[in-house]
Amino acid sequence: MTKLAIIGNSHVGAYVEARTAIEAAFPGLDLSFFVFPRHDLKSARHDETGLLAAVGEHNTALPTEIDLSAQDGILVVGQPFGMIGLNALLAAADVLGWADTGKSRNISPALFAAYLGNAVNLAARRLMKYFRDDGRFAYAPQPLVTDLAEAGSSKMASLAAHPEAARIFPLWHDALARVARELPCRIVPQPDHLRDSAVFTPRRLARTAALPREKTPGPADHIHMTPEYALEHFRAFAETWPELFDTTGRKSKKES
Amino acid sequence: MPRRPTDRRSPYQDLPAAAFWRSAMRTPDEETVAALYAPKFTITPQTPLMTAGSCFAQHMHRALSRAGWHVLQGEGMADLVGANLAREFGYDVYSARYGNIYTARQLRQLVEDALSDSPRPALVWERDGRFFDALRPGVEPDGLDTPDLVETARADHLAALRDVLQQAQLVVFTLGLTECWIDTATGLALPTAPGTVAGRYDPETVRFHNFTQAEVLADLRATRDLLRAHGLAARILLTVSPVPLTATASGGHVGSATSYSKSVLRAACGELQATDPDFDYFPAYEIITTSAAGGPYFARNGRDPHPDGVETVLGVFAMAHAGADAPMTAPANYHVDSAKTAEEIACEEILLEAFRK
Repeated sequence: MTKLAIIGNSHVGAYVEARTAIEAAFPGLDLSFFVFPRHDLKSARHDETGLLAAVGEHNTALPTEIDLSAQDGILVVGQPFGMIGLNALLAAADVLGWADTGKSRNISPALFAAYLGNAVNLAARRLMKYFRDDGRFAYAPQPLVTDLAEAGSSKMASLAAHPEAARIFPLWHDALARVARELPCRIVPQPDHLRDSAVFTPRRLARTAALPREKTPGPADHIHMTPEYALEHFRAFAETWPELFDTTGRKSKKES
Repeated sequence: MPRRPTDRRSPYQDLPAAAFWRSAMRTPDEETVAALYAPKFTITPQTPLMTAGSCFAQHMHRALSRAGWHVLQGEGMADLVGANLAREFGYDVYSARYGNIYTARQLRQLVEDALSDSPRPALVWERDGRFFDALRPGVEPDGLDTPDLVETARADHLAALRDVLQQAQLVVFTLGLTECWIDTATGLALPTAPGTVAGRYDPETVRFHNFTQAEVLADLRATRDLLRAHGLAARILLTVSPVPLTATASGGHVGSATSYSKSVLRAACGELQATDPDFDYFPAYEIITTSAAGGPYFARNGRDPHPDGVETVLGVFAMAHAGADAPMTAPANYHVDSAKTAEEIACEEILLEAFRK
């Protein structure tokens, strides 16, 4: 068996729901899950033995700890990679030559691009440091929202609603790709076939689209994605790690 | 050996230790160091300060800010993008994003534009298809896409500076140079020669000028008059940068040229300090360049001020103002590695050296 943990924030939910499909697609996988209680790294403690345990108040219905030392690989999903700071910057300033959104300050496109690159790089380094530069870890950015997501429902949704989203997101994708090239950090971007554009995920992949009517939350969730999305993003992850997965035989190497 | 009559009195005989070279310069103590600066203005840690000037003013800004003095910030960006990136783009270096202001004429021009309802159009330089504000060419390292964007950015900057000037009770201005390049068409004093950061050197479009003491005095007084004409209360605390010239365009030796520049500036400061209630002088120059406060304090390259000197400057400033409430020294984390000073303290003048053939 290949032991693999999927951990992260609320985006882990789609992978939990896709568990059966993932295990069917990759026989021999032993999956386990962990969710940071408050969606940030400080809400859990990763000690030197590899134990990752929730800190402070947390939902007891969720796993409260996981032994990462026992895993062959760990996929950390739903990572914002600089989106929070990016959102704060664009809430305070417009970019010279871009659409005027009424901010009292302007910054140059060069400063914006430099900041974005730094923010993504710093986020990746922070993750690597938290997980002790362990080569068993891979990181997936949070999925793009759909075009029905309300601005303000998440940082990424706010950026997607920005009139210059079509410029912002390609820069962000480029920065992620650059970091993946330059750092010893396995980053698995959202595959092209799961994107409508540089900004959006197709509506059909939104969690809200897959829920039965009685489970539809209000407001509708266009931030989190379906198990179908999770399975496809997981496939992309598997492609990056041939040592762990025999992707041609659809079996983990350890199994085969 | 003639004998001095016992009943003769000398005007020097009752002077304090600070008045004598041997006690004040060879063996300075707390009393003589404190006597370096007897401020005319009452300043407390709550007094809103604006900083501006040549490279050395960056040390003043950082030291005062980190020690907790109320240094105004009209265009702060460090909170949003981080301190290093902000500095790289000219933010949080001074109270607004004007870059280094080496001459009294530059300060006068800047205040004129900030307080004017119809400031002069931006003077734009080009480099490789990119466009730069010639009056602060270093703040956008790669320039902007179009001259119009330079104009917009300058308008934003002047508006932010106007707010700072309206709040400031004191402008701490560090004079750096008398040598400067003047744009022939506009008569504007430039912070650096065209062709260094951007633009192209053409003797038809720029001319060299070395300011006299009378011109420096006139520019500083005109700046003060502008503030008063707009109902602004700020007084001006002058300092002279101890950093020597990197290069001179005067045709003479850089050592002599440095002496001329610093002497003119120091004399202008002295005259204003002695005669004008709106101006005072703070002796950062003497603290760094002489033994008056345990110096001289230069890094090994003989040009950049040593961090100990910067700390001493702040200490003397703090000692003289606000008594026990004053932040006396820079915090422990204020330490500039002297080997990195030139990198950390952005200075267009350094580029002159880089362009040396």
